[in-house]
Amino acid sequence: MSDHADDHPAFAWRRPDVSWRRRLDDLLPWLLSGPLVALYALFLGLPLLRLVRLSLDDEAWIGANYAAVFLDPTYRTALVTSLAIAALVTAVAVVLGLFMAYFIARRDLPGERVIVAVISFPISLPGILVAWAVIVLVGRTGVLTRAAAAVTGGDPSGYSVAFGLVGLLIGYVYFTLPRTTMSLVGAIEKVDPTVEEAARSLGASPRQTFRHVTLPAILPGIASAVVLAFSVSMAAFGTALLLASGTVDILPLKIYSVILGTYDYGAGSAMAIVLTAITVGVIYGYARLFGGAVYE
Amino acid sequence: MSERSRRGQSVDVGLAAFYVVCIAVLAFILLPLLTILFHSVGGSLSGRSLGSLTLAHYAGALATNLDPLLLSLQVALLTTVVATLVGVPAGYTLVRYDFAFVDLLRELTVLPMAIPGIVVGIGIVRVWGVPRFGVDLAGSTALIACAHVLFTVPFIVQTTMSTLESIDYRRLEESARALGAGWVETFLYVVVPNIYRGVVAGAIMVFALSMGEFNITFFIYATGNATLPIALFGGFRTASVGQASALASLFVGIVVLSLVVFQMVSDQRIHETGGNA
Repeated sequence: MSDHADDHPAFAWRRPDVSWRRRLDDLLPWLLSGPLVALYALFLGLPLLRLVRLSLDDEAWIGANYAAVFLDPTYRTALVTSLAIAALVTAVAVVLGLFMAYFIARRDLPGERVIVAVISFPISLPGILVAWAVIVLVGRTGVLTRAAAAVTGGDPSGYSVAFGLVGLLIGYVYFTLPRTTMSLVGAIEKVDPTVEEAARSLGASPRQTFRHVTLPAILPGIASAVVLAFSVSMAAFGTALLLASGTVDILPLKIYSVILGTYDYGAGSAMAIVLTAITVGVIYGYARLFGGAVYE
Repeated sequence: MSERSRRGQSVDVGLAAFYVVCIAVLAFILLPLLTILFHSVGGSLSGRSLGSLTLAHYAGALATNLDPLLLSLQVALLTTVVATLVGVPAGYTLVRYDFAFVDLLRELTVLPMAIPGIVVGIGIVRVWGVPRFGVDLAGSTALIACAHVLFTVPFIVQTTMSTLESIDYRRLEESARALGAGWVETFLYVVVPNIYRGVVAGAIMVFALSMGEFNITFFIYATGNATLPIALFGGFRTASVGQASALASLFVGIVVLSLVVFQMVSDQRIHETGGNA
């Protein structure tokens, strides 16, 4: 701790109680981070340990619940559906997010602050509110449902897609898109625009400039957006509970129905641990590969 | 020459397509919010009731959901205070000191964001749903607040860490301590004023996130202490479109207000963080 001024011999005369202070200084990090450690231990560590123990609790053999998650068709379907939906939503949200991020970072538009505010707004909305947004958009009496019916002259109920896979996908894109956009804006802003201008002035088309100049520079940013969108989509629960309960089998809904419907804590907690391993795994995997945090 | 003009043309088409996509995305974000607002004041797309704008839905929504609204405000305020008191010193420690496990702790701080809310919720219910260590937190508002602090504290820790890293706090501290200030004075009069704005911005995010937390709360609340998002969930399933929309608009209003205050105290953007959906 040589960077502490008190510890410097030149100041020893000023600090007769230096040993006492040094001991306090050594304890300080533990004292200051103690409450956080206690909070994590009591409300995250213990609950997770408890779920791990429940998931290993089986009469047959210790890994039976985990085997079921991957082998039992009902659980496996939920896992595969979740992965597929998360992958699809991630792809859409990252591509659209690239457009929006480029729009915000590179186009000098009037009202950019307003655009940023609008696009980042859904980040703070709870998932169930997003579900309600989907319902008023494409539900039975939704705006787009009525518009489609009016244009084609068909029956509105035929265009009501809120409750089911389509509604779920719309809702998921709604809350992941702002996250990917804001993540990508940061990455694009770090790219020096004069390099892009140089490429353009040398005759590269906007597409070539993007492909060969911008894209390589923002690749870590894209990876971060992918990880973020994927983990958020895998973990989402509120939106799905309102839109797809009983129609689309995704992992969080399956966990919910298994635990609250049949009280099968073994299978339920095994699925919960698998889900946690996936979301935490991609985030820490990103940190290992790219050396930065997804959450900044 | 002709090649040049052709290229110019294709650029314009590309640019136009680019703008169309961007405007469509903005419309996609805004349209449902405007529709909810429209429904909440009695507007209906069938056109018949367009002339009769009313605040009756708000009155109805407030009358039936006043308790959840007040409870959510209380929990969010408590969460903001506790998360700040727990998170700022911890963030300071993680940046300032080099001790055993500091890297591990730094990595572990983001865990509440990375672990799905449903998993945390079920886990907490299994541990704290019965009296433990002599405390009975089952279904209590205190348990909801604890869960919200856990869920939001990473934002405070992250903000504190990044704000500290952006100022030259080491030199400030060393100067203060060389001038004879103890660590308490140094922390309160030198560090805190320098990170104050960043922390306030983080605290506002915490408030908004606590107000909107659903996934964990859904598993741990008891009938008597439903928060606003829980009431929203019930409202969306049972109430009329108008009342549900009024409730949703109310919530959107609270979030907008939080974000406006956030923008006022901070020139940062709402970053890629954000809660569980």
